[in-house]
Amino acid sequence: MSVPLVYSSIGDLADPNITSLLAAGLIIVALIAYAVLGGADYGGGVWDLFARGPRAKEQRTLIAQAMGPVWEANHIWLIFAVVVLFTCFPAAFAVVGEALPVPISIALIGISLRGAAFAFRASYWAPSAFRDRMGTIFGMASLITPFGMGAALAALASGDITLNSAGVVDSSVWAGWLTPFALGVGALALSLVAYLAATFLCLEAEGKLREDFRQRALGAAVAVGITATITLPLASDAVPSLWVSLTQGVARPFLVIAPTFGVASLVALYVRQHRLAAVAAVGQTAAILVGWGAASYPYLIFPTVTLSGAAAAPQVQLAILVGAGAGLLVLVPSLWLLFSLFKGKMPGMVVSPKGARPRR
Amino acid sequence: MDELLFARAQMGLSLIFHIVFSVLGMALPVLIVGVEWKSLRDPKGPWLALARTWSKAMAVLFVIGAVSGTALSMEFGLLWPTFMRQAGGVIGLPFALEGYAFFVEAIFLGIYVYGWDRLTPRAHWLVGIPIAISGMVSGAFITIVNAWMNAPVGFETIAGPNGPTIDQSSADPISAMLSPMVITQVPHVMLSALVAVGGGVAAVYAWAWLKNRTSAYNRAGMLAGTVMFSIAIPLQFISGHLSTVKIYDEQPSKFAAAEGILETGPNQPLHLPFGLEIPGLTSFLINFDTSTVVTGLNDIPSTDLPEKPELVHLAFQLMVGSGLLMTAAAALFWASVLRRRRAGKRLELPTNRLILWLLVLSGPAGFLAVETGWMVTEYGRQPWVIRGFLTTADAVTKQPGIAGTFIAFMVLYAALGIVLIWVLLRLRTEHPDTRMGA
Repeated sequence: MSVPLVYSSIGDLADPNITSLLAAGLIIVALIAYAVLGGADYGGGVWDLFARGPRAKEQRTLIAQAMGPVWEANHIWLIFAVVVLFTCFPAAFAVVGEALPVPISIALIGISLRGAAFAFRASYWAPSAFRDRMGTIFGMASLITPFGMGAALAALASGDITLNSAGVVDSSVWAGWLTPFALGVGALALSLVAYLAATFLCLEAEGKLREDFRQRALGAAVAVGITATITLPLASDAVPSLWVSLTQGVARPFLVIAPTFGVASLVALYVRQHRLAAVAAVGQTAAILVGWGAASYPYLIFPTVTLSGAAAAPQVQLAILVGAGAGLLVLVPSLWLLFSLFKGKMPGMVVSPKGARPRR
Repeated sequence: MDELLFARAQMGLSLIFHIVFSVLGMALPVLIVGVEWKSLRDPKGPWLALARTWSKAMAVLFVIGAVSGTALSMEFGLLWPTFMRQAGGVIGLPFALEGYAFFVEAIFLGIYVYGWDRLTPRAHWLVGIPIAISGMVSGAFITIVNAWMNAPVGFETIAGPNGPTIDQSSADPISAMLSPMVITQVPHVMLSALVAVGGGVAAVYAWAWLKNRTSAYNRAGMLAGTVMFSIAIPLQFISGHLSTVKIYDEQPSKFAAAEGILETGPNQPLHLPFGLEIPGLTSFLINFDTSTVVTGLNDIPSTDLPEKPELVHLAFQLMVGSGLLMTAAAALFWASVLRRRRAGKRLELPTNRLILWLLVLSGPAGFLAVETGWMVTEYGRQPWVIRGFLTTADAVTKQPGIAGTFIAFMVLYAALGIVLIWVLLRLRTEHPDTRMGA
């Protein structure tokens, strides 16, 4: 029995319908949330690995405290994006799986090792030598994962992923993600998460510890600048369609907006306006992803898979959108509670330190 | 091994690994909410210490479940791209809803685990409730997807080159969530989690009890676990019976394989291990009539059967056998409690070594039942991935190199499993009562 042909025209260039656009928007929103929140957690791992100087221990402790309560929720944004992608654009998800098994498997192993090692390290009852080793694994995996994800994302725009007439990938598993451009995007993703983490940690730290992370943020900003400067010119060759759209098409504003946010964040950091620096860093990340999405439009995978071609039936996308909207009614207050408890001022309604049980 | 077998091996390995943590994520919060509630009413008792210790274990277990679940969500595309092409649009909705439930679980878990010192006792207990609910609900959503794979509904079919295929444009995501198998599979999975986790927890403390560490702490742990699985297990037998009857109606190939029915006919015996059988009982159990005709493996086309149907039968027997062992443990436990009570003692737990050993064995037995039950439903569905519409052979990726990722994930899960067990054993000895044998 051969594979029944399901999607004959996954490269259909017809205008996507409204539910496809909204579903794509939902995926971008989830990816921004993941890049900012989950990304900062990977960046935390990077700074854990590179904790240096007289306050190395305090740096690690702060990172662990900052990540501890929230990182699992942050991680779910990725699962959410994946699930919306495979429900609303199943053919695109299938092509991604066929085309990029190597970088995705690397990222998955990185995700698993990062999460597990962080949890094992937080198991304070275990011997400290074991926990130190887990800390190293946590840091290493935090390096590999954003790099792999960035390279995989770049491959989708490369044009190197080709399909046969049945819509099945026939290019090599090595295609697209090992080019200088893709590796450059991987490096850019890594420096960006390191920058995000350092700016966020400035908000949580005080005194000299804050200066430590400010210096690290400045270093990461330089890394972002260098990787972007090297990678961007490669784009004209490696991802011509993306480049054309970024320089001449609808995505043009983002080529200005993203660096503007970046520079604003850097200046704010320099003059120690830490909250502003963090907000601008978020804006920069969001601008990069929205710009990437706008430049890719109408392709999900250039030039073979489009939004309209890979779209599930409109009623399916509508069900997801309605479900997502309804789910937000639960999710937003829950997230608010989580972040206000651990990242902000304690709301008096719920928290009463006086009534809380004493620390064991 | 060919690529298909490697892909099946990798998926099977990932699910065998992940299901342990799914079950723990569903039922451990229920138990923790229960003991923390006891701690509110009895603050001087051992309940708070239990809840605190378990919440540490839950935090680590949840992480392993979350990362292996992330891997699974991508493995659908890495290993079975054509399954996603066909199923993504039809049955993606419960996946997305599961994503939400999982989100809520992760959020409140963060608050719960890190909030012991930040919340009032009552607020902290309340935070546990959404964890328990969303854990159970996410398990239900995933089981809904599985039910659809066993008995797909919610779409029109169109003629394909090799028989009818799914017409994507007709997908009705709400109806797809109402596969006929849902009504039996979902309760069966939820109960299996309560049984396995209750048994697992009871086993840990029964072991300590066996070693004469009869502290109030260990007593409370054993009691909590045993109460949970003792309540769930009679319901699980009813649910199991209803599931089997449903499988008889919907999936005759799986029924014949699971029950080991070789030839079609009435008056089918119930096959027990070692070639023993009870005449007519399989037919009788379907609708209380021994003349019920059951389709045997001889009348099922080979295209509807897994390579080795006898493995489905073996898994089915192991599942039922594990349940019977746990039933015996629970029955003897409560009989002993009742007898002691009659003798005028307060709620006094058994010291009989046979009962304690049965409880210790209930730990692995509950999880064995989960794994073998999963095997019955998944391996019993082979060679189909969407029964009647798509085979695993057609769904598998055409890319080479799955042997490599299979080995990589095998090493990863072996390492995670070993380190996790080691860390949890350390946690067990961390509590003063268990360590000192007070």
